[in-house]
Amino acid sequence: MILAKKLRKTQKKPTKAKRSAFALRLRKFFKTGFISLLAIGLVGLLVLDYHLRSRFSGSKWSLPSHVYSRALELYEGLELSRDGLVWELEKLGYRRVAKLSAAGQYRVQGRRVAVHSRAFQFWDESKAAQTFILTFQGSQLTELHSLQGKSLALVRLEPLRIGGIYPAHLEDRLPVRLEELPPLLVESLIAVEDRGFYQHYGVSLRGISRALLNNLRPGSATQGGSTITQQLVKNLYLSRDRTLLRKGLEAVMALMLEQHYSKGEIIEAYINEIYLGQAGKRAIHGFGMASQHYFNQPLAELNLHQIALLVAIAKGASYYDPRRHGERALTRRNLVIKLLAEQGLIDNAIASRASQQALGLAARPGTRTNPFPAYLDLVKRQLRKDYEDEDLRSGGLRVFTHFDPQAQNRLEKIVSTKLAAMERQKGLKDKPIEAASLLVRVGTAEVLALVGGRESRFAGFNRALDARRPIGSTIKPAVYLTALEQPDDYTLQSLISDAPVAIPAAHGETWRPRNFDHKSHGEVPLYQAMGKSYNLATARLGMALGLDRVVATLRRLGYEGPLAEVPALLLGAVSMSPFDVASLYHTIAAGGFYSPLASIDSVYSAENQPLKRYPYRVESRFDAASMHLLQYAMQVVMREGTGRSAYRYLADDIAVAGKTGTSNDQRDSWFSGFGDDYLAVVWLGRDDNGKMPFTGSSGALQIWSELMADLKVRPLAFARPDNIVYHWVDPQLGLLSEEDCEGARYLPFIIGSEPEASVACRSWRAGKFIDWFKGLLN
Amino acid sequence: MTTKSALLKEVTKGVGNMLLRVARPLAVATIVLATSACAPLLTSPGPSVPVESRQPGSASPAEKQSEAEPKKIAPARQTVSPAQRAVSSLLQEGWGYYRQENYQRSIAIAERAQRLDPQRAEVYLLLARSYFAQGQSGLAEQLGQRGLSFSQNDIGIRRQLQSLLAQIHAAVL
Repeated sequence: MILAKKLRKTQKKPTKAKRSAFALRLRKFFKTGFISLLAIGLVGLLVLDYHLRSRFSGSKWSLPSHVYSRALELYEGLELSRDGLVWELEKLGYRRVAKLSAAGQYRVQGRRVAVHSRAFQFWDESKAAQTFILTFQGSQLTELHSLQGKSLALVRLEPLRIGGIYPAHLEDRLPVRLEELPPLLVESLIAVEDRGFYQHYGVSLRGISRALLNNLRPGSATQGGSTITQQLVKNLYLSRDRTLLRKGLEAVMALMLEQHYSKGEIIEAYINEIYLGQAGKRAIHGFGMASQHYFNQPLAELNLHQIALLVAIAKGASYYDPRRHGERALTRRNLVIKLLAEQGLIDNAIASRASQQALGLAARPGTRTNPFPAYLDLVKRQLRKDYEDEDLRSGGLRVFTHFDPQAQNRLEKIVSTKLAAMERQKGLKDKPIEAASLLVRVGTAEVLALVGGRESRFAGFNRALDARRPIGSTIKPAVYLTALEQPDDYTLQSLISDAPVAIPAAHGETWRPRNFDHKSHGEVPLYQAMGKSYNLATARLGMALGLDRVVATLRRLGYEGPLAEVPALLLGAVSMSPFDVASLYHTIAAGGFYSPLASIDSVYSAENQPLKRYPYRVESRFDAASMHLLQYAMQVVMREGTGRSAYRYLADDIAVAGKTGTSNDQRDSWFSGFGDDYLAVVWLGRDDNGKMPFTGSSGALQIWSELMADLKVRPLAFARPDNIVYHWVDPQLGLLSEEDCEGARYLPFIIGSEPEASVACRSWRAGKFIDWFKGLLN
Repeated sequence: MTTKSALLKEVTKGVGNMLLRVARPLAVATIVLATSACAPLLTSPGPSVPVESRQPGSASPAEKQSEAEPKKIAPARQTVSPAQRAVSSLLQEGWGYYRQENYQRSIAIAERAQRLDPQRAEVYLLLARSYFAQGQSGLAEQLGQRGLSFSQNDIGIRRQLQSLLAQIHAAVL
């Protein structure tokens, strides 16, 4: 119809028609243009909206996973000094006070310490905050009771957060929930940053116009005028440039955000996202992490002046950095306090008291993401190995480990000071010697502490896991165990030859092992060959047993790495990491039960549900009796053999078992050994595989012994299995003897393998006197 | 050690000390002879030069002493763990969860107890029973075996472990 009319009009007035056609085209152009623009805008908005929402909920999903140490279990009789407890409390950020008034505080009065612990959501229970009193005597916790004087059987402190596992970026967060926040924090933030927060729809027109006016005035400083919602949008989505377009986009997105989310969700996200400082390369985001960064305390425990400082910093984290610009930060903090008083959020007396407080910054930030890089490295590897990838990607996990911060502290200190002292003693100056070590709890196979290099704070080459080096005599227990598992053929007193030997090796070569002292010791009882670490005797024994059997023993002990079945293997021509060695030795320490060494206890999802893990393993791999014999021989090492100098550090009644190891030309110095509760492996060597002036005995053993003494290792229980009998024997003759007979030795035997005949006894003391007179006559 | 032999030892020690003071070189010779005289082979069973112990500096007196008469290596009497009471209270709690068939909790608590005292046989009984109840017979058996190796001084627990192991074997067969 319209078209027909138009046609008629054109027929009547051609010039007018021309003009009108142009207008029509123009109108059409604008119309389509408008529609397409609208469509583009709409699509743009939809895309924006999608982006907005996914990033917002994404920010919740990208929560880091927290890694925790073991929880310190307190009970009467525990080997823990008062200073040890205080050290741990300080690490946990507890404050020493004169009178307990809140969680996270402790008081010291002579030998007694009163603690007001924090609540913590453990994997197995939700522990409420509680107050208890501990009394110490020397290095022992002797009494533990409640404030009311009730004796307590067991109290568990919350674990130490030892790190986080984050996405690729270098940000670190400690997300906090709105309901956990000190109420004053939210109120202060709103009072200072955005007074109209609860009224506006994301944008404050008054704020924008004020900012525009100010920014147009030449020479004036740029001014924000953004609402909290706009600031959140800026933090989450936009670049830092101050263009008008960005401002517009920010306003639109702020409006959209307010449509989708509640004020509570927005302020919570803001509190967790805002940039509040810098720790080296790492950005500190969120008030939770900032509280740790500046005060080494959880947010919930902060006082008014501390909260006010964080709110002050929120204005500009580098401009008001309290560590660099103390005065400026203090002025701003007091301005915040004044503002709170003006708005009636606090009363004037409290405000003036808070204003007089110093900044109260922690000497050291409590936010070093990774103070124990080598241990965390192990945790990450075991997570990848033992847990499903998909589970690990979900974020917000809580990883509970076996890490013992006190043991780690000791291990690090001993390794660095002892090694430096040993180098000084030898006059070594250039090229420092490297070290690696692991401490494991016997029985549970928990890795308690780990040192991956001399500079233990430096995240570099993790020698405890990755330095595969020849283990030398460290391998010998595997050879002797292979023999002792055959009681019909071998007992501890079996004589083996330590005479020189030539063994055909690959490529037509001959392997001629030598003893360390270049001597041969004739026929020696098996326990002694082990104790004195005789190479010739061991090579002969190993060849008699068969390489394949020794290899099988190594596999059963738990070694999974590459092995070459060559004769030199018998003297340790196989490269292993300290971790590998600790695995083998743990099977021995645990009486023949194999369990993989573990750093992780359990992993819980953000919803506190346990993640599926590959089942815990414990496998009986060796008979308890043959392990008992081997442990005997390894105690001979410590009492009479190459490990003897351990008793310079350890009390005489502490039974320990172990073995030294030295590779060719003293390129590696090893010591591996255990008491009842702890097993430790120490390796020393050079990264370029250079020679050292240390053997296993004069090097690694010295560090091992000092560590064991420092940890107050418990003596080996060494319980006698039912099928073991002890006899006094004359080991040189291989006959039964009696306690007071000369040369008699108290040796364990698997029942049925003990000698039957007896030797005529000559009393040891009588013999001694006779010899003395003989000596006089001679 | 009887009083008689202790007395004898004291006397011998006293004589030795006196000799050392009077004629040191003679005494050294005596000890060397005393340790080697009765040996039928030329290789001395007494202390010899250790293979791997070129110690820095000279040996300390303590070390010399241990070289002269190393402490006897023998099975130790089982000592009571300082964590005994704490472990007992955990076990009580753990058995409670076991009876409620909350095996996840009973295992978590038993593992906590195991950490405090890895040689308490009852800990393994609770672990083994909990795993067995969850159908993990293999692991239950291994844990039962481990418990058995610590049960020498606890006949009651030993019997329970043995009967559990028999039950596991019957179930597996």
